[in-house]
Amino acid sequence: MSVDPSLYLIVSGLLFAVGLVGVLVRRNVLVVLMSIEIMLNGSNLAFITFSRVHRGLDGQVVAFFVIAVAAAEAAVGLAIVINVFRHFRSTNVDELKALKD
Amino acid sequence: MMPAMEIAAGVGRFDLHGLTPGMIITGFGLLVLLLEIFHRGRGGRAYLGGIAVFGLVLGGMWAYLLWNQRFSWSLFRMMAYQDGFGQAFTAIVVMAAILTCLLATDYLPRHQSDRGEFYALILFAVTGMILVAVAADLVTLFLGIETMSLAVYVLAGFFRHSRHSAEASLKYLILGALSTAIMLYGIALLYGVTKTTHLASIGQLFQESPAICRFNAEGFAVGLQPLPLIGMVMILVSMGFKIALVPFHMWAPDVYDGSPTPAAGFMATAVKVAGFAGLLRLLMIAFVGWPARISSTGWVPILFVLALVTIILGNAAAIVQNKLKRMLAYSSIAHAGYLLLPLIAAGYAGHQAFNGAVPYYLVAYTLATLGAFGVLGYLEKQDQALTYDDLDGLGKRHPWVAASMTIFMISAAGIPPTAGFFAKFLAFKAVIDAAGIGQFGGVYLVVLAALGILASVAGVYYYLRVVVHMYMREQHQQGPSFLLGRAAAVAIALCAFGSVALGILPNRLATLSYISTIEMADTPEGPEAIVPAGMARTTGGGD
Repeated sequence: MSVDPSLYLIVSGLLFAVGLVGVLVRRNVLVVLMSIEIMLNGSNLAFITFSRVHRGLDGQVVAFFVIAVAAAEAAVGLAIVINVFRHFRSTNVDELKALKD
Repeated sequence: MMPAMEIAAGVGRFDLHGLTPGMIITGFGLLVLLLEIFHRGRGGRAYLGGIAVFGLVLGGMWAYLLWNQRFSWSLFRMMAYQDGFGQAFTAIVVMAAILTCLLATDYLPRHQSDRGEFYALILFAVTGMILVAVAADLVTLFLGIETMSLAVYVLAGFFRHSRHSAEASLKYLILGALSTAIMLYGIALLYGVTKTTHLASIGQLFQESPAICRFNAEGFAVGLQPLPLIGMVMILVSMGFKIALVPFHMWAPDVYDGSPTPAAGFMATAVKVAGFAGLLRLLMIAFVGWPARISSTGWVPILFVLALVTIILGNAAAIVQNKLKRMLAYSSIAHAGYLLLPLIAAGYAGHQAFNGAVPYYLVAYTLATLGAFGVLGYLEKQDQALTYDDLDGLGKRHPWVAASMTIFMISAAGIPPTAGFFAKFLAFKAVIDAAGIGQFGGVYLVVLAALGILASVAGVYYYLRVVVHMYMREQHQQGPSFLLGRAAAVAIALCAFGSVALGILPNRLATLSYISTIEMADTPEGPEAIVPAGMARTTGGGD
């Protein structure tokens, strides 16, 4: 019993879109970083679905790489957020205005 | 595709051999990190910078040896190439990193941030850049870009005591991670359509597959199908972020402004070099089909528009800046626009239009920009942005520094006898030549070149403004009282010497640039077509 792969692709597209909207709309840095993770996982789902459709393993291997990269990015990202919070006492991107023309 | 000869399991000797420069540099990065842990006492950490420079020199020399073998082969079953192009860009990146480390040994102690991680991060970023330069697969390209970017985000925030630095790193992180996610989805779409992530295999499909191209009634490919088109555009957008093309440039001025100055110079040069290496690989190996290039849905029209906006807006925005680092940031954006010109020419007229402009331009640009950032780093006081007025009277106070800065500005503006002049000359020549070679619509290219030249003439204004302030204004405030450190002086002198020497004797580098570019591009299926005997591999995966 299998589900039509195009449904998975639609979900992956939706995840990507939700993430993108989150990055553009939300003002809290942590939520923005989470939205980026959602975008990455949307890509992961697309890779795995295509991998299944093509009956190869390439896409699944890529998904593992992406998971590792996302973990590294989260580690660096949270460290940077902590550093910003120390200086600005806020995680709201609108309050970061030290650098201007 | 080449015939399957044998499936070699595991890692071959030649696989590792081709990646030796990257492995040397990673090793030295780890060594620097380790030594930093065991650092005791009050002494400075300049010796860590020295070790980093030593590792970079070793890696760069190894890249030169690999290049001299004049052999191309693919590594790890077509995950990476060992070819002249990859090693040439490795050498340029290594050059930028060496200069950055030299500048940093002087700069960091003066800003109470003398920590060894800086050098380790530079080395790790260089490793990622090398991966981008040798990438033969979208996955390698992605991993290289991520390795590079993660290190550079941290470099942007290296001043933990500074609000500006913290803000710069966060802005860079968010936009960088966003562009990564966009690129990844583009790769997923391309993988879905082509069943493969190998650049060369994608390139073959882009020329003939009905899954990718739309054909008209006579059987001519007239454009791209929607899915590969979206995938290609997403990847191009992401690369546009990395090399700061308008309209994906808004992070660059803020990030360069807030970052430690040597790190900003590193971002403006080495990151851009790696970005262009990746872009060249993508455009010349993967997206090579005629419809992908020249049709209304191809990348040539897209890059045409991007180049035009980038050159004009980059120069216009640089003119109105008053802070020097922001001026250099916008100038580097404009330079990214000029660097697109040879790519457009090659896409329009094919490999005949290659004249090695991109590597030459990148070398000239790296020397001028890193030198200028080095001078700014020397003049900079604690956490305070330099403006043009801070340069007043520099010609009297520090004649050598002012003379070097003049050379950098003249080179960046593209005035002979400097490297920048020949770089711009080659870039514009590529476009004009392509207009003559191509079959139709060459007039657009001529217009592009004309507008580019006009914009670069306008750019002379803000470069020469620096010179005017240094030599024709009286000093009305206290300049820095410290002396220029020996390492930084060497770096600035090397940049100045290189800018002039390459302007007077451009031949050798121009030839090397030309060879390195055609060594990648001249073989239609990509370099793996010329695999030495006995090292052939199956194409693996996908099919």
